[in-house]
This record gives sequence, C-alpha cells and structure tokens, in this order.
Amino acid sequence: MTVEKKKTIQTFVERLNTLLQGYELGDLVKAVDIQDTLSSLYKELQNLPRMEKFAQLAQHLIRVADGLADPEKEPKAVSLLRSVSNDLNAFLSGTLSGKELGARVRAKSGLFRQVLFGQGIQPVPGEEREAKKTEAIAPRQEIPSGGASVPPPSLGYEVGYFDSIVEDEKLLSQFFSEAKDHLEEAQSILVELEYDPTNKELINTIFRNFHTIKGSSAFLGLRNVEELSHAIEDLLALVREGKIFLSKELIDLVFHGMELLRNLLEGMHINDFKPQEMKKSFRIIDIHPYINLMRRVLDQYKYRKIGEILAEEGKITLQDLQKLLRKQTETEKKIGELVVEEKIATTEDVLDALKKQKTQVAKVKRLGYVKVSNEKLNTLIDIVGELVINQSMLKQELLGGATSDRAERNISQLETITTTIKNLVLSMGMTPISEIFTKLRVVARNTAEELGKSVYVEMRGEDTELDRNVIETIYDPLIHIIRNSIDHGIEPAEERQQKGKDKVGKILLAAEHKGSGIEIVIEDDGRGIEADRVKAKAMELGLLKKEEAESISIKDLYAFLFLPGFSTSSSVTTVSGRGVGLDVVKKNLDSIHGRVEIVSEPGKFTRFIIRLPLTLAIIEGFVTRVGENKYVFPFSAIEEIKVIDASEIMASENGSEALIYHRGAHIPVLKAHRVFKEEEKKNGERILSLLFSLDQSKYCVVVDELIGKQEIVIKNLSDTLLQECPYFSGGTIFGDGSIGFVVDMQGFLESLK
Amino acid sequence: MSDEMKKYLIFTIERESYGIPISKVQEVIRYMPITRLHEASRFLKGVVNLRGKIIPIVDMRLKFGLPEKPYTDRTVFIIVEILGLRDVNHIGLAVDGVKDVVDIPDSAINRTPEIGFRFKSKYLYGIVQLQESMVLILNLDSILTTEEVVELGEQVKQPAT
Repeated sequence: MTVEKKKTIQTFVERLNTLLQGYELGDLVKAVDIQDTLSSLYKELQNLPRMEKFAQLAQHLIRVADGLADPEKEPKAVSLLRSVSNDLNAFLSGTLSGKELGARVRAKSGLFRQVLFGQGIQPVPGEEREAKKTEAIAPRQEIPSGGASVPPPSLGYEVGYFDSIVEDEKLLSQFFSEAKDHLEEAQSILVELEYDPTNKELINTIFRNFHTIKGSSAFLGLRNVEELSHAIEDLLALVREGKIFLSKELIDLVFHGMELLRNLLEGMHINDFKPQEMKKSFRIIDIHPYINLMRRVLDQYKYRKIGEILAEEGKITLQDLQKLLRKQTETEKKIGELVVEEKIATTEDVLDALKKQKTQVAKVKRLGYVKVSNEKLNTLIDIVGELVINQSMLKQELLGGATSDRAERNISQLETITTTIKNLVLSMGMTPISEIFTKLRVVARNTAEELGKSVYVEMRGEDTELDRNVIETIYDPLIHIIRNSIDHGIEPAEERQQKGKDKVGKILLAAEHKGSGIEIVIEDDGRGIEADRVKAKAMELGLLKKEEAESISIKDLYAFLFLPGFSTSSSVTTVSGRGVGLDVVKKNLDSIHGRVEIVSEPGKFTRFIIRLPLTLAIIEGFVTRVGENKYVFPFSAIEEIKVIDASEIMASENGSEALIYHRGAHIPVLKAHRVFKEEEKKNGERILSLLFSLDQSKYCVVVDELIGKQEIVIKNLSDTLLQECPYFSGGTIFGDGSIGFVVDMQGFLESLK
Repeated sequence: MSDEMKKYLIFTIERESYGIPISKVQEVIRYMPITRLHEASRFLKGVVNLRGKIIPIVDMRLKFGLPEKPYTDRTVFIIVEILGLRDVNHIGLAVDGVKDVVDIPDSAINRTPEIGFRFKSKYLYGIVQLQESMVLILNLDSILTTEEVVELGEQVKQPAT
C-alpha cells in the first residue's frame, strides 16, 4: 500500500472519530455524514490487496451505522462505533498492533450481534478478524489474501432486486441524461430555497423534478433509483403541503440524497448502460441507510390519526378500526367518540391518544413561519424608525415645558414600547449567517476541485445573525477571499505532505459577536503571506520606497494587498492572480462600514478578519457641525479628537496646504468647509479637529463644533443627491427633526484631490 | 394612438402651466424649511425631512433657468417618484403653485416637433390645449436625471406655429 493511500485512510478514520465524538442522539445529519465517511473508507479499502479483512470490518461498520437511524439501536450503535473507531485510530497511529486490534474487535462481537440483530448477517465480525489487515496497512507484510476474489457485497439488497431493470441501453441512457438535468435543476433550486425556504414555486418545481425521476426510473425497473427519489419526494410533498418547514437540516438531507442519486446515475454511465455491469455498481451503493433515515425524519412530522394511534397501542384492533371508519362515513361523529360509544376502548384511552396526537401537532407547529416580503419588512423598519424619531421629538417637546407627572410617565411608557417594537422589527430583518456559509462551502468545494486540491471547510458560529442586507453585500467578498485562499493559500497535496501538513487543506469559516458588531474570520492553513514578496511587489509598483521597506509594519504592508492591481501571485490562473479582487473586497466592505484585516504566518496560515456593524441601518457616528449643517463622521475611522493650536499649523506660502506635526508625523489639516461648501469662519486660536486614520494615512479634519458620539439611524439619500455629493453615504434625522449628513470618508478625501 | 384618459397634475411656474402624470406624484406638501446644501448645481436646493424620509428638493425655476424667487406660502413641494439606478427615488419639486388635476386623453396631447423648439424634445412629452391655456406635459424622468439646466422657460414663450 502506498503512503498516500494510508494517509487517505487515516484522514477518513480521523474524520470518523471527530464525527462520533460530537455525535448526539438523534442527530440525523451527522448520522448521514458518518455513513458517508464509512462508505468512502470502504471504497478506499475495497480494491486494495490484502485488505479484505479491513474492508469487511468497514462494511460491517456501515451496517452498524444503519442502526443510527433506528432509535432503539442508536445508543448501542454509537457506543460500538465509538469504541471501534478509537481502536482503529490507535491502530493507525501505531499504538495498537494488528493482533491487538483483531482481539479487541473480536471481543465486541457480542455488541455487533446485538446491533446487527435481525439483519441476517452470519459472519459475525470477529471470528476471522485478525492480524492480516495490520500487515497490509503498516508497511510490514505478507500473508497474501487468502480468499480468492471476494464476491461484491450486496449491502442488504434482496435477491432479484435488480432483476427488473429494462435491457435497453438507449432508454437507459435517455433516462440518464433526463435525470441528470432534473438533478441539476433541483440542485440550483435547493440552493435558492436555502435563502427562501417557503417559495411555493421553487418547492413545486423541485418536487416535480424528483417526481419525474421517480416515475421514469420505476418504468425502467431501476428500483434503487426509484426508492431513493421516492423518499425525497415524500419529504418534499410534506413541505409542499406546508406540513413541515424546509429547514437547513432538511435541505442538507436532500443534498445527501441527491449525491447518492448522482452516484447511482454515474454507476449507469460508466458501465455504458449495460444492465449486468450496472448491477455490480449498484450493489456497492447502499441506499437503505438513507431511506431508513428519511423514513425516520418523515415519521417525526407525520400527523397520525386517533384511530391509528389507538390501533398501534393495541387498544383496538385493525378490524374494529375499519368498521368504525365505515361507520364514520354515515355519521358526523369523530372516531374517538365512536370508539367510546361502541365500548371498544375506554375514555381514558381516547384522551391519552388525543394527548399524544397533540404533542405531535405541537411539534409541527413549532416550525411554523409566516412569509413576509422584503419590501413590507423594509417599510416596517422605516416606519418604526419614524416612530422612534417622533417619539423622541414628542419627548423633547413635552419635557421642555412644564409638564405633569402623568405626561412624563406616559411618555416613558411610550418610550419602552417603541424601543421594544424597534428591537423586534430590527431582529426580523436578521438572518443567520449559515445562509451564506453553506453556500461558501459549495464554492470552496468547487474551487478546490477546479484546482485539483482538496479542502475541508469547518464552520463555526454559523447561527450568528446579521442584517439581511449586510449578508447580501458580504457574500461576494467572502467568495473572493475563499477562492483566493484555496488558490494562493492552500498548497497542492504533495507539497503539503512534504511540509508534514495534513494532505487535506483546512478552511475555517467563523462568525461571532464582538463588541457592537460582528466578526467574520476566514482562515486557511496554507502557505501564508510572505512579507518579502509583498514588499518587493510594492517597491516594483512604486508604492513603497526602499528606505521605508525596512521599517514598515506588517499591518501597513498587508494593506497594500487591498490596492487595485496588486497581486503577488506569479502565475495567472482561472481563479485568481490578475490582481482584481481584494480591492473589490475592500470596496464592498467599505460600503457597509465594514473593515478587513489580514493576519498571517508564512508557511502556517492566513487569516482574514472582517468586522462588520450589526446592521446597516444604525452606525456609530460622531456628530459635528460645519457651517450651518450637522455632519456625521463614521466613528470607527476616528483616532482621536485633536484641538489644534493656531500656532501649531505650518501653512504653505499660498495657504492652500496646512500641516501639523503630531506624534512624530506630519499630518495634513483639511477643512471640512471646503468639501461641504460651507462658509468658513475666521479661525480662532483653538481649532477643533478630528484625527482620522485611513489606508495608513492620517488626516486632521477641521470642523466648527463637536457635538458627540451617537447611534445614527442611516436614511437613504436619493441617487440624485449622491451623484452631486459623492462624499455622503447617507443622511440621518436627529431627535429634534433636523437633518444631518453621514460622510463617506473615501469620497470626502477623493473630493479634495 | 390609444384614447386612454390619464390624470395629470397641473402646476405653475411663472405664468406657464405644466403637467405631469399623477401616477408619478406621491403627494403635494406645503412649503417647509429646507436644510440647505451648498452644492455645485444650483437647482438642488437641499433636503427636507418628510416624516422621517430625507427628500431632496429641486427648484424647478432654477432647473428651467429662470431667476430665483423667494419661497412664499403659495410655494409647494410636489413629491414625485422617479426611477433611479437601484430603486425608486423620491424627489421634491419646488413650484410656484399647483392648479388642478385633469383628465387628458392621450390623443389630445400633441407631440412636439423637434424643429421650432430650442429645447431638447426629450424633456417634453407633448403639449396640450386646456381651455384657454396651453400646458406643457413634462418628461420628468429625463428632466430629473440630467445634471444640466433644462431651459424650458424661455422657449415656451415662442410656441410652435
């Protein structure tokens, strides 16, 4: 066995371990993951020489994992899987010899039997389980495979299961392309549904997709395809009827099913649609665990009738039930009443059943959602904003004059109510970031595939909620960063191995609340950023002088990466390297008052840290007065408030340029009046200014009055106005009804150039 | 040409009457103090706070190249919707006064000939005769999305013959 193979196997076993460690009873999605990992492991082992025993063990474990879908077997299955996977891990890392592993597995044969009981397995694992596989893995040796060619496992398919497949290659290949189209459509719809899970039209279309696949496959005798698509269709039918909400977990579940379907279809394709060959491929892919799992999921949501519950508990017989149902059509009475009338069951039994039915209903109801259009929600947010402003105007008005206690009390009550409404409404506009994280995972997977690399994406804090508009704006930048990380960061597998890293690259996507905002981290464990190359490139482009190169801080250096046309990639790939990219990332983030920072260690990792305000609607602003109007500067960019003494200013001859010397640097002094075309007052001795730090440069902006830091509700300024004044990003309305303008620092500096 | 009746809001600047489709009009409000913007283009006077929305005010006299006149209590702001790049924008038009809302069939509107008018026809949808007075039907979207001063005022003094 090659070293590479061993690595792959190790990766799978490690993954299995992690999955099992974090497994909680009833975690269906993880159960599917475990199944997947085991099947991949099995696939790897299957055709390796001298690995039959190991492969068999994997195969048994797959069946044990089946038990995860069965609530009765689940706890036992989990503990068995955990202990076996621990043994495997120990074995792979060399702390356990092959003999010992064999012995340990054998010792568990009782457990195996229990979990697998009723599945008709004769060769209980353990008996032949021995040292052999050890030799195969550890580059020890020999003992050639005893058994001749092992017959392909049929993974629980009954005899004759595949016999009905139509022997018509043309029809089968037609079905193949048709089904592929449907799957493709279904995939894109599914992604859309993640954003809009209640969209009727989308649900109908995806339902039809699987319905068609089911129909055609039944016609062609492809029973496995039929069963699989049927299971998915059943789920979607419930969604369509509005019985269940298409949660993220369920979407994942459908994705898994689609992957299985695709595998089956591929199995047809690679065998040139020859039924005999196809059967062989089909046998390897076990669809039952998925179908069992699906059944269990559906059972949770199924709304059972009283009669069924009673029959199930043995309180009435099925014959009785049928009789009663017939009777029910004649009368208007409910089944429960009839049962009691006919003295088949007691009133208590019926009440008991009713209670059980109710808990089911409650379970379904808990997932109820109402769909509200974005437009309505935005209007609501606007209106509530107005309400808040109005409320504070009223307060000022009333409390200014002589007021009664009653008025004061009422006004403070009103304040509480409006604040509650405001918070509630704002929270309605929030969506968990998982919405885009899951999409990004797909992007990462596709990009890695494109580049022939393999990555594993880890997500953390995906339930962190963000303003829907923020989420939309950061989606593109995040895609960009991820593609960048995979292209520039993650090394090819061979290189990673040489460096002693895990062959599979890791990308971490994390989100968390920090301070008054959200922090998003995208980290890869790739080659990191080499400061020297950035320096060289910066000097080449004339952005950095030789003498500065020594002393420049890492933070300032990385900031170059966000400049347009700056790329250190020596080669241009389809993914990146054209120097278009990070500047766009920065621009997009600027537009929502977000900031991005890079931390990296060469050879180890690169980490992008994005800090965002919680919502677009409210920012922290510093309110100032310039001339006759109020202007709000983004608080995040302000470093300090600087009161300049008139004598400090070093002006050029014509007075057009002014500088001050502050903390070891010459800082230009800019008059906000010039930008806003406000009338300039004669300067006094003390000049008020705000010290900004932007793109590694510092600026002093002179204003007339400092009013203070405030939470600013940003209002849209119309396009007409923004065209005229590119240095505004929006407007705001203060408590007294007056209007202020929110300054866009980029535009502000731009207009001074 | 269809003979559909459409409603138009008629307003006045100087002594001339202008019409805009009522479907574009959100509301007409009385003059309120403007937060001035000291801007390059003179006709963009500033912004007002309309129930929590910030609405820019375009002075139509200045937009048409007429001399500025102080606002009186007859001055009104017509709040109109125009299609912006991303979404619908609201803009207030400061005019001397509003007169009426009338039904005008499309067939009654004479398309203005290119020749004989100095102003660009893209700003004008057509001309309609209402009793004794002539009303110029404006093409608002193109008037409000251009940065130039649309000199309608002068030209209407010499209507096509």
